[in-house]
Amino acid sequence: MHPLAEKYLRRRALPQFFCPGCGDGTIVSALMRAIDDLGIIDRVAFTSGIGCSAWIPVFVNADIIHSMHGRAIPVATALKLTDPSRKVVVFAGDGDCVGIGGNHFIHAARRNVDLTVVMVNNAIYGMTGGQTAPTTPHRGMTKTTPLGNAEFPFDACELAKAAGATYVARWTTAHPRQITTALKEAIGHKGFAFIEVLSQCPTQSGRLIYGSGDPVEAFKRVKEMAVPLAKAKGMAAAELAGKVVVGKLHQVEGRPELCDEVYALMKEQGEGLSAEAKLVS
Amino acid sequence: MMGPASQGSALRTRSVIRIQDHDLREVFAVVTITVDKEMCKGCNLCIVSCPKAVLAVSQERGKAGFLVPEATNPKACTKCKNCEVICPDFAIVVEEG
Repeated sequence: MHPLAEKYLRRRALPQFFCPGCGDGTIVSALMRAIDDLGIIDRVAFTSGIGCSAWIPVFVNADIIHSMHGRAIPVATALKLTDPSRKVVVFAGDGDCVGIGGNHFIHAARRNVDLTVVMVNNAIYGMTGGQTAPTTPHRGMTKTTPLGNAEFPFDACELAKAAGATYVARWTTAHPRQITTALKEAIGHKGFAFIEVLSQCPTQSGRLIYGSGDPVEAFKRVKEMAVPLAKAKGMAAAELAGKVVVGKLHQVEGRPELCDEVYALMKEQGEGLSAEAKLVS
Repeated sequence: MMGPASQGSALRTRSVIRIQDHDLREVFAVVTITVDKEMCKGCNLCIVSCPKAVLAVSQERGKAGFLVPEATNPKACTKCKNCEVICPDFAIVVEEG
């Protein structure tokens, strides 16, 4: 067995239940490398909602909360507020993060809670059988849009940036080392950090949207779709059609963080607080 | 160089690469590529991510019933570990020695 798997994963849960060639497994591997490099397995907590990607932290032998669909971010916010020394990492799919939990996502970004949110974007609702997601490409064929998708997809990174996230990066599963670096940066960053990972889903989006269930083809498609940020700056808008810009897209330091603000307020006006709250502050 | 050999559930390939460094001193670098047959699901992402075409599909089936990869050209391995980091199932280990 792989030494990282032996050290950090739940042996009874292996092999992972993901389909052959699913990008989620690569993200588990990248996450384990990041956690191993930082050495924070005892101080990290994961929360996730519902979906294939919500199972990413389940294989890790650490503290996790598997919550309701779309509600991973509120649970993580509560966890962070009660124990600010914890590093909280949220795993959500595209439907979980910008579909059902879209409102929670923008408000967590606005509050600038010190969370790391990893959104795994496979452009479809994979686990429930291939329905249209808010990230399905225009004219993409899914189970619920047999004539093609009439809607236009969300750009989750732009959404996070506009809502007030202080760290935004986007990578694909063809960049596992960059995902590890981004995770390390995001966990170290003070404030709301958002990482979008474009992932291949051979079983649902591969078969339905792109017409092939082959993992290798799906992987190559994701790889070819990615354009590095430095290269994209010199490209025209027409050239970038159908492509995705990858890299560290946005980072600001020094914006007040929610936990700091809450605890500062509690310290300032602590007279009316209970003994427990005084103890925490 | 030793050929691929089955050891329990893993497909192990060991090869000795000779590298000449700038002192023209001979350095022996040994690489062992292990494919875990219980974990591998035969998605072949390791094969496409290898820049030196070290891996290929073998005729052996893993626990999940898919054909697992094996290192057919281990002498070309540069230990970049692309296969190891891309593998979704923690099934490949590239080790020195």
